[in-house]
Amino acid sequence: MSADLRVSIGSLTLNNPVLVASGTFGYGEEFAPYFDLSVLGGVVTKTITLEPRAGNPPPRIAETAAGMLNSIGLANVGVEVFVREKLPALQRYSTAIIVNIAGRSADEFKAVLRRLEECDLRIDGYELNYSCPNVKEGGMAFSARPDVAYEVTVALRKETTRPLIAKLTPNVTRIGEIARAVAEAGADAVSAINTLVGMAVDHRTRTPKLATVVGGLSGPAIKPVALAKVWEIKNAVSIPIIGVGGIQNYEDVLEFMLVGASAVQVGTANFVTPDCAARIVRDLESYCDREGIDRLADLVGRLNVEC
Amino acid sequence: MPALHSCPVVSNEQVTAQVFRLTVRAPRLATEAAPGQFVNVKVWEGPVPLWRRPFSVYSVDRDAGLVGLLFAVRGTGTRLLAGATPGDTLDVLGPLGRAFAPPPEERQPLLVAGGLGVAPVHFLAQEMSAQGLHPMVLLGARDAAALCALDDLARLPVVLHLATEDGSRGFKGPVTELLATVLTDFHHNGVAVYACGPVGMLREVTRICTAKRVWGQICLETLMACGIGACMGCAVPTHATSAGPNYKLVCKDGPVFDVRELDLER
Repeated sequence: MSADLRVSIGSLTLNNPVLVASGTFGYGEEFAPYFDLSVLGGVVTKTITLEPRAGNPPPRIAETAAGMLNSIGLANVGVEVFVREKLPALQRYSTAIIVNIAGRSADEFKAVLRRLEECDLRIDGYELNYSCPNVKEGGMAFSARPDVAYEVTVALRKETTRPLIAKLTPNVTRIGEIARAVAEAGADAVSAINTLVGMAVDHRTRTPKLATVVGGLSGPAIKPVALAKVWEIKNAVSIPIIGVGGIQNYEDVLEFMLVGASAVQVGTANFVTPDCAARIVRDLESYCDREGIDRLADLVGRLNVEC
Repeated sequence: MPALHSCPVVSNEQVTAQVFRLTVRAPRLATEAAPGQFVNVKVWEGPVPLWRRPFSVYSVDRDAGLVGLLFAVRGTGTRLLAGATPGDTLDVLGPLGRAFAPPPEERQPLLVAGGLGVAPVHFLAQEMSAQGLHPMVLLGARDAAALCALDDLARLPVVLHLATEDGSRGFKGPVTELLATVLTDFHHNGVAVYACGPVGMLREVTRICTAKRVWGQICLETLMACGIGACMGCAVPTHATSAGPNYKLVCKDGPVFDVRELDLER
């Protein structure tokens, strides 16, 4: 008898807690040669904006110790092409489709959401990118202040009955306050964390390694920060948390779940091992069988902190 | 079809002070890879260095199921790879990217390599020779000691011309100057140029081919994380349109591009 890996994110039930993070999995099809996407708990698609975006000038990425910096700049095909060409290809997979959206203003967020609501294709939820550090306009501002995060979430809540997941930036003093604001505004869940603002320098040329000078740090290097932020949010709100940051294997997933995440997103590891998320799902099944765990969701928030 | 391959190391020879020729057993890769395509190699199990390292396919032996790579030791990743020995197994993702196109209308192939850019050029010369296309190869480097793959190219039925910047072997000057000289012997409709090397060299090849209206393809090497079009880190600028700047991805749209596709001047 196999363990029950299903987890709930508000009204949404995922086959398992392993999703893939926005911006690390393209529009999904890029990874189809490596495994059946239906084994995933969900796919969070690359951030979609109202108009197509070319992205930032190169160099856009730099390798750091156990991590990477990026300043892609939300390069994407725009919502029209996404609905016409990208979203249809994902429909055949029996995994949750979470569309990540962004805008420079609350109105632009709403316009993207409305266009997606109009289409007849399956969308299981939206992730609101309040937290990209790599765009000049908007971006991080939406989750840097509780009042702004609250207002935008309230506005978007009126537009859809589908689950809304606010993706939060760690680049704030108190992430719990932002989580509380979006929860009060009607968000069904939060994703934590987006990338940390970071920088890399080439001492030989005396130049920054990114054209934008600073960018977003991801990968195993940020896992301890992500765990701490999930823990802080867990102590601030009762809505589900999706843990993101440096997850490479099933043990990392267990750590995030114990700290309070109901599900996780695999990000940078997809670049290194394209079938990483599928391997993690398999390893979680084996772990449950080996440990006699019937329901993986029972582990959520079971961190022993008496020490 | 790209896939993850577990590849036993067959040999790893040092060919110059910094350059190694690594051969792995990879029957499916050897069958599927085409010149210009690359593989992304996990050089270490741990998270440092984190990314795979992309390498052009240097050679294939389809009968023996072998794939060869040529690489220079430039940092932590390549230093680790230089230590790979028979008995080790490498995690190899590929074949990736867009391959060189065949020469149109029976044009004379003119293959231009600068430094380690010889890697995909050697594979292309190998394939073209097998097809009886008689390519001419222009191989350039900083000095005689830095000329790579001479022994392997000498075994192929190609016409080989050498260029060194210090004049220690062959033509004295950059290989692009040699290209410009050689091109004077051809009508622009009679030749197809294929080039790989540092971006400055490819910029010059692009200028020469565009000015002379010669059909040409260039193969870019750049920093990349995923190699499959997901991270969007390996963007290169294309000619700006009225909508502003635009980019193509070296890993997915390339690494082989038509000389007219990119704006390497930016």
